[in-house]
Amino acid sequence: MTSLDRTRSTSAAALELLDRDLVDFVRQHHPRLIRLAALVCHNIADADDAVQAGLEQAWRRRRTLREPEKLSAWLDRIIVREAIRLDRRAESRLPRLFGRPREIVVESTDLTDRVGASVTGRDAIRVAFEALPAAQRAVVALHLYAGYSMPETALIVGASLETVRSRLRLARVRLRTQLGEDMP
Amino acid sequence: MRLQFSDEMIDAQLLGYLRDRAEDGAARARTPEQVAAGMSTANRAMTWSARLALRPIRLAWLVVLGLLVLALLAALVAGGRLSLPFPTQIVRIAIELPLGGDDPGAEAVSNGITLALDDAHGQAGRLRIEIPRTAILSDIVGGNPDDQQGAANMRQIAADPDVVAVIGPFNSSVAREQMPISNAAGLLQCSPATTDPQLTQPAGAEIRPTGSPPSSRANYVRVIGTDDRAATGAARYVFQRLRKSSVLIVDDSQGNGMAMADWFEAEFGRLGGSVAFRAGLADSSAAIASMLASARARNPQAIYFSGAGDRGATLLRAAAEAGMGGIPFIGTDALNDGSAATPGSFLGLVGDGAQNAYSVFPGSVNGSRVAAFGERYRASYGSDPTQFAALGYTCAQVVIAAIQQVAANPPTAATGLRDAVRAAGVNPATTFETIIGPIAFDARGDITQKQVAVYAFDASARAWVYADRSTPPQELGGDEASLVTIAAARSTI
Repeated sequence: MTSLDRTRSTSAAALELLDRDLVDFVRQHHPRLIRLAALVCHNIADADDAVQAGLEQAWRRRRTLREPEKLSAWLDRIIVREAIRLDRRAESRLPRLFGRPREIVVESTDLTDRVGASVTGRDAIRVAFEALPAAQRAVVALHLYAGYSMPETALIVGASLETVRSRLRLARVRLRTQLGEDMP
Repeated sequence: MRLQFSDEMIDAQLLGYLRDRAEDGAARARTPEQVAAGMSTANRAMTWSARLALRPIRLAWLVVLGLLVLALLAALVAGGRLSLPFPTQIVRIAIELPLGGDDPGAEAVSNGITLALDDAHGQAGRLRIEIPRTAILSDIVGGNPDDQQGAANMRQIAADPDVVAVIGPFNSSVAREQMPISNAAGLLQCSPATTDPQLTQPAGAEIRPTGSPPSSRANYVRVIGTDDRAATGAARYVFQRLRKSSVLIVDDSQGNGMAMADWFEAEFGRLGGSVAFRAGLADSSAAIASMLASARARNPQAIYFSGAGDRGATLLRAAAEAGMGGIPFIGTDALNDGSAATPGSFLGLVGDGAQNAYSVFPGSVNGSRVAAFGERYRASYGSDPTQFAALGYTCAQVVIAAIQQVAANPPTAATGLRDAVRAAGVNPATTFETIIGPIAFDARGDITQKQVAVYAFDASARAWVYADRSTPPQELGGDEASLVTIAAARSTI
């Protein structure tokens, strides 16, 4: 048997060994990324998908990262953009393809169902936040929750600084309006 | 009355909500292990099944995806590529050659390597192989190969942790500088063209290997034979096949040329032949003519020349003028530097005067698989491949096969993929299936197939054609051994 013949079979042990680094990579970054994606996406399934797809991208392209100290920001950028893409796709295609409104998809796995409903004012925030488009949610999440500066947020979402400022301003306006209507 | 909220108030309210929402999302999301499993090829199907159950809204898309996957698998099966639809790790092969220099031969080698990678579909087991542009380095300085540039290139290659093997160099002097570096880095190095026997013989132990630890670690292999075997194989061909017993030996007065003339002379004498005359090739035409006049008086039946193609052309034209144009003229592979249509080549300089010329190549690069390679090469690059292009392809086959072995039996030690690939590539017990046939390497890294190929001038094609092959005496063992010849002697000789 030739060497080429010998190498055509791939053992399960080989798969496990080669995936060990992958598992460590996911364990290290998944907890932070899933929280970020959960803020951008309307439901947990989309957030899960965004994180997995983003991590797959990052795993394939990790050799291209020349500044290891920027790994977290690089991952955040991939995940956030993937989350926005998935959310926009769901928003735009589901009604057209399946003839059902967006709200149906949200129902059972909706992140809004279990958060803040019993707290005065939280419900208004939830309603207002849910109404924001994904791009505005991403800016809010990156700037307020993740603590990125506005210029850093602009780099992550791939928009100009002015656009990011505008998105945050519009998000605040919507939240302010909602709170003003619901609060006594 | 409506309440007024400042940005700070809005942000504070919102941040509390975001934190709760993020934690809730994390609690209900898949675990990292589940995500990793979903990312792995082996568990991909299960993950999609789970999603199907949870998210019926995606059923239509999954059906479409399933059909696409089935079509992909069918195509892979038909193409014999089923083993690797989803590679998970990338490894690199580096190329170190005198690219962009005065001699275009290195470009052909690079083309051959690239073609081999294409034919392997860039994959070996679960490993994806790439040759990025940054891993292709040239040792040309001022138009010529430079030993120190070669050494600097090897240091750069060794510093890239993704590189598991390097193909090159082209020149033995460059190899001498590179080998200690690649050895210390544990990097498999395969050369398609270096023929200096000292690189792998005991006298060259100071350059191979010097790595640590351990000091015995081998890393250098070559798919071409050595100069000593080419010279002794040529001697046997002249004496036993051409049946010439008296020879004029001319070298170029350079170290390598003189060494090859020595090896030829020793073997020719051992066989029972005699050296009618031996000289170094002078620079002036008058001195050459004078030397040939002296030699002709000894009535040599053949001429052996060890030197570059253009110098060989000078000697052959002078020999013809001296009345020795009708005797066989045997040279090294340096004469095989292109057809008569190649400007400046040996055949281009002597034209039909090469009727009795032979070139001995330190390896056997022939057969149906080489011919098939030639067709693919011409289709890909629009030019004829050289022997070195085929040997570049062969080196790539060796490296890819070594990577395949590692992918099938991945390393458990901390030394990692690079050392595992090195060990697989230099293993004397391994036989590699290549376009030049099944090959193996001895413990020093020399190819165990030691036959040399004899090329002769084809007047109709005005080019070199494979004529015969000869086995050097080192491989035959004793006086009872006879010249090994295989059919395929050309009809035009």
